[in-house]
Amino acid sequence: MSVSGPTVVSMTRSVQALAYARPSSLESTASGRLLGLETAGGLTPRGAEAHPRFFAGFLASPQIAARGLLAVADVAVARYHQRARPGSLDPVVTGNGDRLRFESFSGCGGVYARLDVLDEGLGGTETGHGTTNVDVNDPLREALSRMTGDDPMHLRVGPDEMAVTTLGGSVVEKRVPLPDRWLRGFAEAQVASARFDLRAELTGAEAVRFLRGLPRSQGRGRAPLWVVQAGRTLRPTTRPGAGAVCLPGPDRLIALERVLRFATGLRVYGPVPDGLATPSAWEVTLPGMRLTLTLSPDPARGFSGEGGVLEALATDEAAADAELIAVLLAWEPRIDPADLAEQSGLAADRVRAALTRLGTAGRVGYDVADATYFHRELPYDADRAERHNPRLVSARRLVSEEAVTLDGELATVVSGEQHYRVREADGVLSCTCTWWTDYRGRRGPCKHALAVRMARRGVVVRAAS
Amino acid sequence: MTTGIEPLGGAVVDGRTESMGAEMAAEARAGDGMGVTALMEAVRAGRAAEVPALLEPLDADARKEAVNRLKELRSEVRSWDWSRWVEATRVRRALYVAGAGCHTGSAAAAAWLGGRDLLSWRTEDGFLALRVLVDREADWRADVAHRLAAKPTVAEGSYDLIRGLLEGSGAPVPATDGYVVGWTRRIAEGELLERLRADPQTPVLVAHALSMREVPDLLAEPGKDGSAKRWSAALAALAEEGVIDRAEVVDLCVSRLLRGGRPRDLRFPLGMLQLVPPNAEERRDRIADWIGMTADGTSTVAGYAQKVLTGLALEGALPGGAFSEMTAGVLFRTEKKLLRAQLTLVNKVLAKNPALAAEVLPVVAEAFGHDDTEVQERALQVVARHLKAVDGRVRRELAEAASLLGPAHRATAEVVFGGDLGEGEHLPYEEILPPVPEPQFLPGPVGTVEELMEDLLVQRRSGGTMEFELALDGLVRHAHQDREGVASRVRETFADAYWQDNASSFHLDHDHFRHGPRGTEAVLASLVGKVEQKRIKKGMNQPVPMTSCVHGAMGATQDIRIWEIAHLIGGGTLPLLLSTPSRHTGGIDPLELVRRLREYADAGLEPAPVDLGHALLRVRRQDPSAARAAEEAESLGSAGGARLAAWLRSESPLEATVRFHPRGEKESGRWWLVDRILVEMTKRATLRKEFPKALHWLGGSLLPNARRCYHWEQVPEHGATLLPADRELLAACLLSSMASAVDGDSTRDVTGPLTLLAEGEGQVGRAVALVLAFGLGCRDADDRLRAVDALLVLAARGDLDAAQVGRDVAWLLAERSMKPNRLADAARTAAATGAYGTVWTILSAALPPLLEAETPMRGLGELLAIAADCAERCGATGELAGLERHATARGTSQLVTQAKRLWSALRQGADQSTTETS
Repeated sequence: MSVSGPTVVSMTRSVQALAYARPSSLESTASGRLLGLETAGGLTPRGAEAHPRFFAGFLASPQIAARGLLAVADVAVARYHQRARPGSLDPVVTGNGDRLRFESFSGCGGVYARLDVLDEGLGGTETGHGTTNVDVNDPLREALSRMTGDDPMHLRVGPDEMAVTTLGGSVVEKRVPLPDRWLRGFAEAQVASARFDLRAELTGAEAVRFLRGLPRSQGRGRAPLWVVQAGRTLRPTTRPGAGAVCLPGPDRLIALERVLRFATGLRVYGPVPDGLATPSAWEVTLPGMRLTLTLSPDPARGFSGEGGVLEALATDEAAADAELIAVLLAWEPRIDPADLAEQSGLAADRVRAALTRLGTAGRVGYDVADATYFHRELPYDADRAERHNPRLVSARRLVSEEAVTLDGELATVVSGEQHYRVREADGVLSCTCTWWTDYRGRRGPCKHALAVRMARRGVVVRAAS
Repeated sequence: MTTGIEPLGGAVVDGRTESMGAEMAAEARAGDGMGVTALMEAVRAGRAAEVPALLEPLDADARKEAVNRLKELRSEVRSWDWSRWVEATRVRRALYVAGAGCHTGSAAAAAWLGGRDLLSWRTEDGFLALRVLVDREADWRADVAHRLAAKPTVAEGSYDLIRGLLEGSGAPVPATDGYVVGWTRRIAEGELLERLRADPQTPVLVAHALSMREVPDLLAEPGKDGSAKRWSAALAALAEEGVIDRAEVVDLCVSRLLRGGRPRDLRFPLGMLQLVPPNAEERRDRIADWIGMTADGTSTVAGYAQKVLTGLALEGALPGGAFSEMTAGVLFRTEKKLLRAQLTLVNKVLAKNPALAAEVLPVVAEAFGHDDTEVQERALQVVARHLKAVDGRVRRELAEAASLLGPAHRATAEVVFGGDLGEGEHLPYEEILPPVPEPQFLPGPVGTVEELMEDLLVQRRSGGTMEFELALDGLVRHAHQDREGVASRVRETFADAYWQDNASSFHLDHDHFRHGPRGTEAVLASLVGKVEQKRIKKGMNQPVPMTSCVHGAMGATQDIRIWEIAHLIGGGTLPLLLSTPSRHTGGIDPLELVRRLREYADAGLEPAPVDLGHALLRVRRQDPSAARAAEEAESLGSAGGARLAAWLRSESPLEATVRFHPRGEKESGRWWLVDRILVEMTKRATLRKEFPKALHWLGGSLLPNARRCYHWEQVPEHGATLLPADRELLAACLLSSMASAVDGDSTRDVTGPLTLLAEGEGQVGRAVALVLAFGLGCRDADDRLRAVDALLVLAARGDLDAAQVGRDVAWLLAERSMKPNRLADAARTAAATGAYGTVWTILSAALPPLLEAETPMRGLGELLAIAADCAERCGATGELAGLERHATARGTSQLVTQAKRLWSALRQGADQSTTETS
């Protein structure tokens, strides 16, 4: 294989083009303040719209809401690990009928932030349905930072009914090139948090004390910090026991600083600890709102964008399931799998697998506080790149070269000069290649396991044209 | 030599001389044959300098054809081999220039000029491209320039090209991040102020630079000689002259500071504001900005904003609502300097304007719950002073809030508020220790051969000690049953191992294992027959010299064990490994060991000596089932069984004593801790008679000498699992590796084995206390955290001698081997988990010698603060020698205030306990 000269290896990127009618702004009038967030194109129950309108009403705690929004915007432009310079996407807003959700994802792909403004926070007003981007520009940030006092604030998400649309089209246009891996990571963070349980709960004062006591330095390349609830506070520990939560890169929680003053509690969620670093979710409860940060297991790597979907992609069965479920969703804030199973006629585990698949495609999100999925369509196609995943391509090549020999429980795959043995145990395929010994399933199956899966299902692969 | 800003002619000095001769050559060539062919030939040869001249005679059609051929050439160059790199670079330069001239559309030309593979670091190329493009229309050039400026990396690198394209086109300056970075770099060459003044782009680009999220490097460089200082001085001068708008600069700087970001990016705007200060009107207009900065900004920004607001408040220009908003924001911060300044300000403002007290005092009362007692005290003082200006309702509110005050200030609060004071919580103190860790049992031996192969692979890459042990045991068991089958699987799975005779190994007869068995590699190689017998014999018989250090002895022991396994594997005499642990600390349950010996006895085999020796060291003698196991072992009737029974019944077969050389002069070799530790294993004759030679060092055959060894100052994890039933001995072995972490400056990751120590078995004595004391004073924060963990687990199990730890900490601090701030950090972490009583016991033993010293050491105040906190919370009583002297001293240093606090806390605790008992 010939290697080209000293060119920079570029990640595949796609350019997201956002077009807003005008810049978002915060104005003060005699009767109060008006926060107008402008939207770009997105999906609503009526289909794709250029500038959807979600909400017009008053916020119950304006100052806190402003800070929460700033925290989400901070994460959108933050980069907690110094690597290449990716662009940053404007936050995504979703209306689910009874709440507004503002989501963002950091530039390094390691922190996912979400502000849920619940019923109480919206003063009881209902919201529309749909998902889109909102424009957050520098003058808006400054205006939100300047906000003081508790004068009522009217929030408008989407253009005003009576606004005069300029004939020339959109005024604010942003073109952001984003790596495919970032796009997948945004969606993958949801699927990762679907395995979380509540592990610890702190009061406001204890939360402030704990978060302020965390180390500020980056300390990359070290073993991650673990915390476990001890009495009323969290105790740092080096060995994960039962109920411990991993805190990789504790400096990344600095985004919570903005809302600490008003925090009434902190809840920590994490999966079952098994020795290696795991992601975790940190939720600050505010009056009428919740701000959640989900951290990736390795600050240097971000959410890895695997989600175990590769196995399902290797065969097409789950794709049809996912499409069916997607049609039945209606922007509800809490998706009920039992209900969907009834409506679709699929078994419960197939519904769950379909929801996972939709999660990695960015078409549903996961709310750890409610422990359910919610319908939200990210305004870009996170699924596209998955089909061109290099491991799938290699697996298809192995099958077409007939390198797989099945032998009951075991299978042998010949790749190059090496013979690898693939073994099935409890539905998990393990292999003797270096990828598997290094990661042992944390990043999904290796190409040999995928090839064996394909061969078992009798998938016929035509040689690549 | 001038570059850059001057018009084109003078700038191309180098390019022109290069191209003059080339032009003549090019003309000669263009004369014969098609121009396009000549162009392509020149490009292929990499003669970039000839390209402009070759392009001139080409008309539109020829250029179109040339574009296609250039594109082909570009993709061809992309596929070239790495070895043609130099040639590829030359061709790419020529492609860059040629393509610029041949594209007609501005978008296409911009895309070509922005191509990542064509960009070069040589500035002449930009000028060559400029020459080619100089005759296009102004609009076209401006469009290309703006497109290039929109891409950050391109704009940085091709600054000159963009600048040249914009020349004379009348288009506005593209204010983009990349362009500004390129501009700052170019303009900094030479006399900065002159060039800034002369450049017409300055106002626009400076405005953009001040509002960029990531400030260019040249503007952010700190230090006296940093370029940032020159830049701020130059820009300040320009603002004064009127070249850049002063009001705009102030506006942009304040907005940038309000937006926040990394401290690095905020240094420049802050510096600018110091040099170009806002006038009175601007300061008043932006009160909301300053308040936002005090609440959310970094320390320096908040300090600056606080100063501005202080000025406004003292002038009377700050409305009451804004003042209480500011106070609320600042009092939530952690920086003591800001808090102190704010409380002083509140005092002054309320003195002038008592009407504000009703609004401001409740906000100040929020500081009653602050962690720092000094802040609490000041807040209480402020509230007390202005209490008379508020009405009854507010007074009651403040009294409620005062219940958050720490016990140190409760007395004062009672005086201030009288009976209104809210009741604090009076719960009896409960020490919160971590739950006693449950024993973790290792899974049984590995199942199928396939699983075994996977486990061996995983362990080879990244496994821990227990994975290693289990994999080794599995290998031995499977090899005993079916040697040939396992050997062939090993040959296949490890086909690329270095000890196989494959193409990648350098010498076919190379002895790969000269320096040690390298974990399971030697065993695998021996199974397959790739290790020479004499290497195995040599490994098994290697001596443990008397002069070796503990690390060397431990390492040699482990190696000898593996060589023995390699010698015996698959030979029919090793059905299983006796020394495989059954718990994650390395311990073996006695009944389990009896079971294993029974298997040996049933097969009529004698256990291997080193294997049995290791197993005996690892068996848990303190386990409740030990007596029963001893009986069963005796009833086996084999030699191994008899030895196990005798071992289980013996009292304390292994012991060690630890002593320290007194500290000498720095050059005498007796200064650092690691040079003074003397670990001596107690001589045990029985050990030497019965155990193989490899383990004699545990019975005292090592010469105790205190000196550095060349090992990496760490005890590897598998060494720590050697002695799970003798904690004292293990601690003694760890001491020398931990000593460097305490007073050295680069050792890290030494406290790993402490967790195993805390969960192990065996008596606890001087060595364990010493090792914990060392751990608390380690340089690395993670090490200290592990030590704190181990300390708490030992306390939870009831095996901690806190007073002894305190005494050891005392002499380490007194001789300055340990730094007090590190101990304070560890103590604070331990106390914060709820173990105030334990930490108090340690500190109460550690503090007296330090308090009684002639001149108290720096950092003693911090330790006293933690001790006072612990004493307050756990209701400690008692006397602390030497405390009274400091508590009754004059002054307001932290040492005195905290000593006072501790003293009153101890007395309060005594009062409380007498009232309870009476």
